Amino acid sequence: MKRVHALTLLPILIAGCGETGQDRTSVPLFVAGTDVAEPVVALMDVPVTIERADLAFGPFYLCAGVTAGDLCDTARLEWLDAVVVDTTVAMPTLAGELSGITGEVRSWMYDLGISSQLTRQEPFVLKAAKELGSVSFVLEGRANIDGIEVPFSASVPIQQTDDTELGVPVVRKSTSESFFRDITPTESGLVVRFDPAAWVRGMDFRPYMTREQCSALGADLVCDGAIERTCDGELELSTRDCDQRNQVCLPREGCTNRLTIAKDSEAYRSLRNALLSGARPSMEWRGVQ
Amino acid sequence: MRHSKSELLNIAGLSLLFLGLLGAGCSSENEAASGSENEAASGTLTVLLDSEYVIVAGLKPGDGAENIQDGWAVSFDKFIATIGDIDVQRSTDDSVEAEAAEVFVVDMTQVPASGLALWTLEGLPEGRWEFNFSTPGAADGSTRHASVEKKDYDAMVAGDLTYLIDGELTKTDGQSCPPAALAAPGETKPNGNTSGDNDCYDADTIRFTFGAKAETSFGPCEIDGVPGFAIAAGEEQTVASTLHGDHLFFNGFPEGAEGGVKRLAQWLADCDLNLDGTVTEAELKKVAPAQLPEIDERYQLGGSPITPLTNMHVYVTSQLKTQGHFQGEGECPLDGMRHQH
Repeated sequence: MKRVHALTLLPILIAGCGETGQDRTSVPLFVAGTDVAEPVVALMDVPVTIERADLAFGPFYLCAGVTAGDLCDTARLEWLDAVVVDTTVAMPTLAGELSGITGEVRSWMYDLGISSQLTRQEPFVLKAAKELGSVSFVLEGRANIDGIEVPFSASVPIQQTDDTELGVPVVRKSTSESFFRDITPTESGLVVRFDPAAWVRGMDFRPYMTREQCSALGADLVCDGAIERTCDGELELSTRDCDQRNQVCLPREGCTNRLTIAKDSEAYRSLRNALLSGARPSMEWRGVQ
Repeated sequence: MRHSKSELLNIAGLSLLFLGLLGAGCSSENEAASGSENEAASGTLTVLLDSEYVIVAGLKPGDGAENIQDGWAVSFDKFIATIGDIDVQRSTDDSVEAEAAEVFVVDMTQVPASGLALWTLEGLPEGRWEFNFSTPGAADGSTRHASVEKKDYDAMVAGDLTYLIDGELTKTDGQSCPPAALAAPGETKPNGNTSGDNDCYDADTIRFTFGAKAETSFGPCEIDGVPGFAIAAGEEQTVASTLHGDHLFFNGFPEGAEGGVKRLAQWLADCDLNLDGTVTEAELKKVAPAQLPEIDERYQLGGSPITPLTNMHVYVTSQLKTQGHFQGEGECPLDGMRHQH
């Protein structure tokens, strides 16, 4: 009989100590961009029209502690997928469901479609990033430099490497940002909203427009606005008006259809740094259900 | 099912026994709350200020994990820090707390290897405690330590600084490659090398001197997964608040172990915009990270405690905010809200 009674009371004991106030829950996760119909003013007042700003976003984690990253050993809520976000569209779209437990969250962290795993040497490229050509961000637009429209594109992978911190999401909430939510079972959703204008403002497009004549110490191919000049020292061998060919003249390239922002350029580094440590997405909680 | 009277008594007894167990199993808060009843069972905590050895000995160039990997050697002549506001809470009840509010301005290059005993908390009830400390600004009630010259202390107070650092980079074939848009080389001639589109100039010795407001709270701290410290009755416990000195040269902002980090210094050499041999705070503030070709894929800036990282002084300040450790290499989450006063 005693054993029977003991077993009868055991659930009470367990229930009494097991009460943590946490319930399993899921929270709809929405992603959104920002309307960028108006040109963005980049460095040195260069107006830039953004035509495409697709970002691979995810996985995404919410942590209980103030500091995300390695110190967030167990995420309170997580979404392990990734989607391509058209960051030029302000209307939120459903990306998926954050799943985990209720309770307070104070930090977040995410990858940009390329996820570093401790168990793999190379980061795992998720489908969203594959859709963008195995990169995290694709930017296309037109920069108006000294009155000349220069179409451009940039493709930026953001990933951990052997040189950095394997196994840790690439973007983590800073302590200079505030973030807090006591997650309840009735959350209506979280909107993660990106603003591509903030990433473009720091880009310097000026080096892509030069006004040069042939000179003794100059290059063999120079641009004078939209005019391409082929030189032999000070001697001008030929000229082409790139504008008449619906092209632009780029230093060292001459007439070309589009500026592809190179990996070793300042504009590329600016974009990469902005995605990592520039303006962060806003986290907007929808009201409880 | 019917029970006899004796069986019912047995059930009642067992129920009380289990209720007792239930209470015991879940009564940590009550136990902590009664900590004041055990004042006799208390001990003393001494807190040392500990300086990572690289602040004293510098960093050497080389391929090892602890070396500067781009050939520069680093030494610090002054590494003045504002530190204090020790704050401890009973692990089982954070309403039981104690504080050593003193804040000192100390030159970390002068801290002996055995540490400086700067704070004492007496009468802590025995048990496990969480440990927190701060690196605040110097303007609000700090005390100058004997290791700091008065003029430097005055500068710390005037600027409400957390750090004032003066050091030197040396490299036999060193060079500085400041961003072309910002460079003011004067009569100095480029050496023919470039970094990206930036000309480089010979520079085998470059000083760096700057202050930073990097107010940060650290904690609760842990070492090897063990949080805080334990107090035994009648005993004196000693722990250390440690400041590291190499984070300035990290290629990112690691959250946990620093094993995957590379230490690089060329970026700092490239911030000598006027090529006078000294990188100043004003120069750091002029340079955006993107203007330095050195800040490339080797750098992972996504964990910066300050965003946006608008210039290299903000970058330096962000790195300085991560330097607080516990017992040498123990970790302390920074700027947590849990223990703010």
